[in-house]
Amino acid sequence: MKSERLFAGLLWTVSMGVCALLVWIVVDLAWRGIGSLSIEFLTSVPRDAGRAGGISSLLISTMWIVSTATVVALPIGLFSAVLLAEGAQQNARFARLVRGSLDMLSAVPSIVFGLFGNAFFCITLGLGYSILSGGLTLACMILPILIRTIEEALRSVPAEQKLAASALGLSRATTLTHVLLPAAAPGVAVGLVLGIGRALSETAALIFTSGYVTRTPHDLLDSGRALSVHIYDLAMNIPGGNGRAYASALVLVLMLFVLNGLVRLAAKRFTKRLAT
Amino acid sequence: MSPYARPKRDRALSVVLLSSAALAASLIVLILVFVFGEARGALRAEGFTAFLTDAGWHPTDGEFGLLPMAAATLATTLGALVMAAPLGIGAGLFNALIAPRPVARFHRALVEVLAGIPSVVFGLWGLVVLVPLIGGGERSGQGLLAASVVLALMILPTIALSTEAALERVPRELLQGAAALGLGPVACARRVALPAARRGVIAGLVLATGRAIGETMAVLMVAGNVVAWPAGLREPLRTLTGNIALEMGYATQEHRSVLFVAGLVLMLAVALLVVLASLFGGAPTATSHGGGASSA
Amino acid sequence: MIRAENVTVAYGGQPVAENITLKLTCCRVTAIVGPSGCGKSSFLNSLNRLTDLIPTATVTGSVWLDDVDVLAPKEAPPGLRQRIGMIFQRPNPFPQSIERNIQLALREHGTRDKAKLQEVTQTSLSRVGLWDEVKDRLRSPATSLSGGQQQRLCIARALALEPEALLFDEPTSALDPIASGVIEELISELSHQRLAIAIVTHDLAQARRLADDLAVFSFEDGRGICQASGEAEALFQNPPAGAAATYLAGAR
Repeated sequence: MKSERLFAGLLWTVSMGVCALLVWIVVDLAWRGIGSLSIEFLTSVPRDAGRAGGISSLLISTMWIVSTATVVALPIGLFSAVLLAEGAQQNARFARLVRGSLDMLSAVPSIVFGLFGNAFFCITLGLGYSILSGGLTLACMILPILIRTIEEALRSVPAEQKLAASALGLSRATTLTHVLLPAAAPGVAVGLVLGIGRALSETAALIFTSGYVTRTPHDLLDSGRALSVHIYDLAMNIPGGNGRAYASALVLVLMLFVLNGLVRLAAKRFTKRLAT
Repeated sequence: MSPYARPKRDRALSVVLLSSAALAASLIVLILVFVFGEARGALRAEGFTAFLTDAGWHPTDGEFGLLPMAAATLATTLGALVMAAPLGIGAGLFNALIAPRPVARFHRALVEVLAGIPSVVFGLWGLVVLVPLIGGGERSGQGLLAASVVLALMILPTIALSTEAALERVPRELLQGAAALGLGPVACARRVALPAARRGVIAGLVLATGRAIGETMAVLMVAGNVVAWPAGLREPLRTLTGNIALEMGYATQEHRSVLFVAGLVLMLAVALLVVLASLFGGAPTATSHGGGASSA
Repeated sequence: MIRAENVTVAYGGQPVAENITLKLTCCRVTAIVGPSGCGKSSFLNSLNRLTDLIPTATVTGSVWLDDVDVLAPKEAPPGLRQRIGMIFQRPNPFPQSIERNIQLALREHGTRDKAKLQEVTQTSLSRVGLWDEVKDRLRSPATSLSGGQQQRLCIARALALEPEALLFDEPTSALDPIASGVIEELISELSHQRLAIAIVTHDLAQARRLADDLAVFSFEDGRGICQASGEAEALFQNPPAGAAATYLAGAR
C-alpha cells in the first residue's frame, strides 16, 4: 500500500510539475512581451532592423502566406479526404497507398520542406523568394493534417444519411455537397483551424522560401517575412531585439490561442450535431 | 452511390477526387526526387564516405564531415527522450487512470496548449530564460543541456497524449479484472494497464523521436552553433537541422548540395522511424494533437 | 406492380436470401416476416437495387417493374428509385431544413420551378399529416422534429417523388408506441392511395394489423427462403406446416 501511495504521489508531482512548467513559460512570455505590446506595435512597420517600430508588415505577410497555403491545401485536402472516406468500397489499394504516403509526408522535418520549397518552388518553378513559394510549401505541410481531420469527419457521418440519399436516387455529387459536407462541416472547420495553426507556427520552412525582408509585400510574388521568422531573427541576430521578439511571440501565441478556442467551439458543435 | 441521376457530373467528380488524391500522394515522391536531385551533385563529387570520414565541417575548404553534427542530433534527441519519456508517460498515466475527471481535463488542456506553442517561442524562452540559468553567470549556457531541455518540452506532449490514448484503448474488462483481484489503481496502472498499452506507448515514443530529430528552430536557438562532437552538457554543438538552417542562406553549389545531402539523411532517418512506429501500430497522422502543431 | 422472380441475394458468394419469388400489388400492403437473419432486409434492398452499394453483394434473378427487369442492366435504370421509395428503420432526415429535405431529391430529378416545388412540399407533408404541424417552420432543421415526426418526414420525402411503391424496412422499431401507431395508420392510408407497399417487420401483431398479403421467410440450410406467401388472413388462419407455422404461432 505504501508503494501505491508513493507512486501515486510521484505521478501527481510529475503532472503538476508539467503544468507548473507550462504556466511558467506562458507567464514569462506574457510578462516579457506585454511591455512592448501596443496598438502602435501592431500597426506600424519595423524600424531599425526591428528594434523599433512594430510588426504590421509582418502580420500582413503572415496573413498572405497562411491564406495562400489554406486556399491551395483546402480543395486538394477536401477531395482527397472524400476519396479516402469512401475508400473501403472502390480503390482500396489506392486509398492505402495515399494514406501511407501522407503518413510519410507528415513526418518530414520542416527544414526539409524548406529545402524542397527552395529547390522546387523558388528555383525550378522560378517563383523566387515569395509569398507564393512560402504559401505553397506550407500547403504541402498542412495537407496531411487537413486530410486526416476531414476524413474522420466524413467517416462519422452516419451511414443512414448515405443510405437515405441513395434511396432517393441522389447522385454522388449531390450527396456529397448537400448531405455529407453539411453534416461534416464542423469537423472540416476543426481541420482547417488545425492546419492554419500549424502554418502560423512554421518557421524553418519559410526562411528560404518566403523571404527575409521586413517590408510589406506588394503581391504574391513579392517576398515577405512571416511573424515566426521575425521572432527568430530578432532573437538570434539583433542585439537588443529581445523585447520586441517577446512581444511578437506574445502576439503569435495569442493568435494561436484564439484559433484553438475556435477549434474547441467547432468541435463541440460537431459532437452536438452528431448527438441530435 | 447511385450513378444515374447525373452520370456526367458523377464522372467529373470521380476525376476530381482521384486527381486530388493522386496529387496529395505524389508530394512525398516529389520531395524525395527534388531533395535527392539537389543532393546528387555532392554525392557524386564526394562519394558517401566523405561525409563520414572528413575531418571536420569546413565547407569552404571542401571538408564535409557530417558525423559531429549527426552525433549532436543524436545526443540532443537522446537527452530529450531521457527527460521527456518518463515525464510524458507519467503524465499520460496520470491523466488516463489516476486523476479525477476535472483534473484530467484541465491537465490535458494544458498539455495540448504546450503542444501548440511554436518552436520559435520555445527557442526564445530557452535563449532568454533557460540558457542564462544553465550558464549560471560564468559562461554561456548554450549547449547540449539547453537543447535537450527545449526539445524535451516539445516532445513531451506527443508522448503524454499518445500514452494517454493508448491507455484509454485498454479494454475495460482487463482493468476491472485487476481491480476484482484487489489491485489498487496504481498497481493496476503499473502491472496491467501499462503493459497492455505498451505498443501504443512505444509508437508514441518512436514518433516523438522522429519529431525531435527533425526539430530545427528551438534547438538552433539554444545549442550554441559550434560544429563539434558533443563534449559536455554545457558545450555548444550544432545539429544537422540547425546547420541547414544556418547555412542555406549563403551556401552555393557544392556546399548547398551537401546541405541537401544532410536533408536526405534526415528524411531517411525519420522515414525509418515512421515505419518502425507503424509496426507498433502508431501513425503520425493518427496520434492526437501532440503531433499537430510545431515541428519547425 | 412489382414482381420478384427467383431473386437470390448473396454477400461474397454466401446467399442470404435464395430464390425469392414475390409479388407486390398496387393498393395492397405486403408484410414480410420471419426470424432475424433470413434475408428479409437484403431482399427488400434488392428491389430498388440498394444492394448495388455493397461491393460484395451479388443479386441474381429478376425484378419486374412493368415490363422491365430492373436487375438486368449493369446499373440501375434511371428513375428506379423515384418509382420505388424506401423508408428505413431509423429515421434519417438530412441535416438540413424540413423544406430542403423534401426538395433536395425533387431538384435533383429535374423539378426546378419554385411554385411546383412548394406545391409538392405541401402535398407530401399533408399526405403524411405533418403539414399543419410544421407549416410555420419549414426552414427549421429536420433534426428538431421528434422521432415519429422525422420518420413521417422521411416518408413525405419519398412521396414527393410520386412513387408507385414504398418499401418499409422495420419503420417503427425505433419509435415509441404512440409514434408507431401513427406510422401504422399512415401506411394503411397510403396503400389506399394507389401505392404498393412492402413492409419488413419483426412485429407479428403489426403484420396482422397492416398486411393484406404476407410473405413468411425462414431458414433452410442456413439461407433465407420465402416459405410461404399469399393472403395474410388465410395464412394466419391456416399456416403451412413447418417453420412458418411455428413462427406465425407467435402472432396469437
